[in-house]
Amino acid sequence: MIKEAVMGALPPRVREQIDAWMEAMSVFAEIRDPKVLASLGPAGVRGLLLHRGKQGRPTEMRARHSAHFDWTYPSDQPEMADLYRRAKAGQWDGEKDLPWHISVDPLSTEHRLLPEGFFDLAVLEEHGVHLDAKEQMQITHSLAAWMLSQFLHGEQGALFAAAQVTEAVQFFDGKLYGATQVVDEGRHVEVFNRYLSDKLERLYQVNDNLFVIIDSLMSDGRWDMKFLGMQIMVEGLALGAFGTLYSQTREPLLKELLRRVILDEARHVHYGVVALREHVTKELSESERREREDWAFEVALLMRNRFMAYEVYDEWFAGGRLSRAQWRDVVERAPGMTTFRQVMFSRLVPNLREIGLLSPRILPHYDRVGLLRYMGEKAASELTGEGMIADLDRTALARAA
Amino acid sequence: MLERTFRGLRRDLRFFLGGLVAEPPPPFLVRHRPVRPLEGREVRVDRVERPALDSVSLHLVDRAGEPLRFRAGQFFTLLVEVDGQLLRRAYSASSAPGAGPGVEITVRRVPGGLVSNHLVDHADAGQLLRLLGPSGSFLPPEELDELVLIAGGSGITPIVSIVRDRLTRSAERTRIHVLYGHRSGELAAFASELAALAKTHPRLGLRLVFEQPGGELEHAVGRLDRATVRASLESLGALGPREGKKRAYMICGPVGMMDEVRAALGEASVEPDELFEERFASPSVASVDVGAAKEPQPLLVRRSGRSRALVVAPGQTLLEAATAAGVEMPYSCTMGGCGACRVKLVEGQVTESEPTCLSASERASGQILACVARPLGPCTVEVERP
Repeated sequence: MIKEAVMGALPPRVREQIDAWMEAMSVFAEIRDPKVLASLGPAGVRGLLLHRGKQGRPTEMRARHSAHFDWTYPSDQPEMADLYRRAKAGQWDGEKDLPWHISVDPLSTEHRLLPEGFFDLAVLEEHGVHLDAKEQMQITHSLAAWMLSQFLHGEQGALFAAAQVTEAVQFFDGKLYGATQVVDEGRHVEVFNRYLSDKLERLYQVNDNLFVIIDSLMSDGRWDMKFLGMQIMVEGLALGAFGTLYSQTREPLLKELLRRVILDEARHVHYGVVALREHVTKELSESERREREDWAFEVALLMRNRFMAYEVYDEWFAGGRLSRAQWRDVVERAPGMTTFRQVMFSRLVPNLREIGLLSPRILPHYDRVGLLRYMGEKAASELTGEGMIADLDRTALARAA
Repeated sequence: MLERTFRGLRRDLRFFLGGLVAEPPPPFLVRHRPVRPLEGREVRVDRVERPALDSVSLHLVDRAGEPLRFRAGQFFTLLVEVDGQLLRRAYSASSAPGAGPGVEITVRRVPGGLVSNHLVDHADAGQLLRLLGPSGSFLPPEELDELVLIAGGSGITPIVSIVRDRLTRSAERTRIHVLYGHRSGELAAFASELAALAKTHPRLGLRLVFEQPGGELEHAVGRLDRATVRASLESLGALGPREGKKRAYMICGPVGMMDEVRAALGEASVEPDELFEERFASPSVASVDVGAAKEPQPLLVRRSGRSRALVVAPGQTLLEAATAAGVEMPYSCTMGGCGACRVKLVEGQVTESEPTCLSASERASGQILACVARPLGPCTVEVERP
């Protein structure tokens, strides 16, 4: 009560800054495993407190992994060799294979970027903010551009991480496959960047939490941590986000762009599952396995709880129109974000199960945060990209009906 | 090194303190769409009117709010997507320059025409399209005593733009004669407007000739053949001795009608330098790739004594290859209709989509249009104009 009274007496900017610090502190406080804290902590300071991604200049991240050479060129991973073949056959040209001539009107009611009910306007009204019809379209434009900007920043991370992983991985078939993933990620950077520049004409700053995950992965010297972070967690997040947007957008260029990206991403996650399955179950000690299990849980929580689109808040509501706590309430209760979380965890949890990072000791934690219900879903190694697209199309049809 | 570390620490501290010490970083950066010249500018259909049966007028405004500048008589190239295919078509402006922030173009249904049928049937306010231009040199001389405008069918669009433009000039005394032929009154776009203007503007004379009788407008019945053109122009007082007056004849319409008009004017001793023509039969993009190379071909572009080597991908035009490589070349309509991209083919062979606006003498001197030319093998071209 006293805290609220004191906060209420402060100017809005000060209040918002204090809230941001407190939120950063709560992220650190929630991490129980000291090894995970040691792994995520420095990146957390750089991202959440120093906002290195928003300083308006390029960021240097020091890599500490070793390049693994094998002069015998073994071909002993048939599943990876098959992924390599499929990846070669599935290449596409971001310039020629997408209908870039389609004009995109971000404020169109006919070809909406996001569906009408993505935000629950009633929640905004509860907090005393009324948006007229034009503002509703404009904030939807902001949110769509924000999501796509985070996709682009994530793809930049994926591009560099895929290159690092290709150097560091011990499977030679994996290295060949990894080369195709580097090309895939480069193409994704190309198409998201072009869409944002040409069609939405804005690029949001990188979200601090996404920065933390990318920074932590880039500077971790262990190849399997990079794999776990990028191939399972970030790619899983990406699949969830892309899938949500794919099934909800009515903008034909964006839909086609996402369809093609999802087909690539499905391969990437599949590769992560195949590479880590053997490694986690056969190569790691139990304490090493536990550390990764805890790390994955913490990152899952970070992804679930912390993508609050504060950049959109700063644009629209900072300075007293709405507090950050009220904004969190709006985002948490947004139907579109709920769908996003569902799709993301329905992809992520089965993959963690498949690679051996959902042992009985961690299950109660997942259960506590309501993520255990996704345990029975199919893992990436049991799904194809085409199957995922068909699933998303069915869901979209059912929703429309 | 120390200074760099110090600067970094200071920056970190500033961002740590955030809103307490400085304005927060902007949530987003505005991205400017990179210039892709051959894609043109984005325009929005502001409103749609139907000036006659089977015609539609689109009022287009620049989506970024920039004014659309053009001169009466010029045309624009409209890029329209039909069934997943991006098609280019040339349409003359029918509004007067400066009459509003945008431009009105008028489209008449052409039997079997993909774009015209699509626009006549589906054009609607709010649609987004792409536009190139303006292009063309179908421009009346400024200082005139008499301006004789002869239009057949949808050739009326640049003519009506010129009429609207000239009549708004209150200080001007140029007498304007319009001879307008069509199949019927209900198909003749702008006929009613021209008739109304003729009543209120004594310096505008109008003669309508429709093949089919009927309708509310006063008109002669017939076709714009040689005899009818002569008789109509005589009745308007637009033939005969100049008596020191400066006169210009501007013709726009189907090829057959233009041949008849030219013959009629020749009989009446109209001088070639008094004659201005606009062939509105759209340059075609249907005949592309006839024998065009299936492999990438080297292209050398020479300009002002300097050369630039580049590669033309299969299916690309010389202009597309040059602009993609960052080589500046003049162009406007991009469909062989305006001649702005004319270059001299110094070496090699090309295939061009036909028809183009090049004259026989221009072709004979080795001129080609870069916007519709595709190489048959290695080529060298000279950009002669600034």
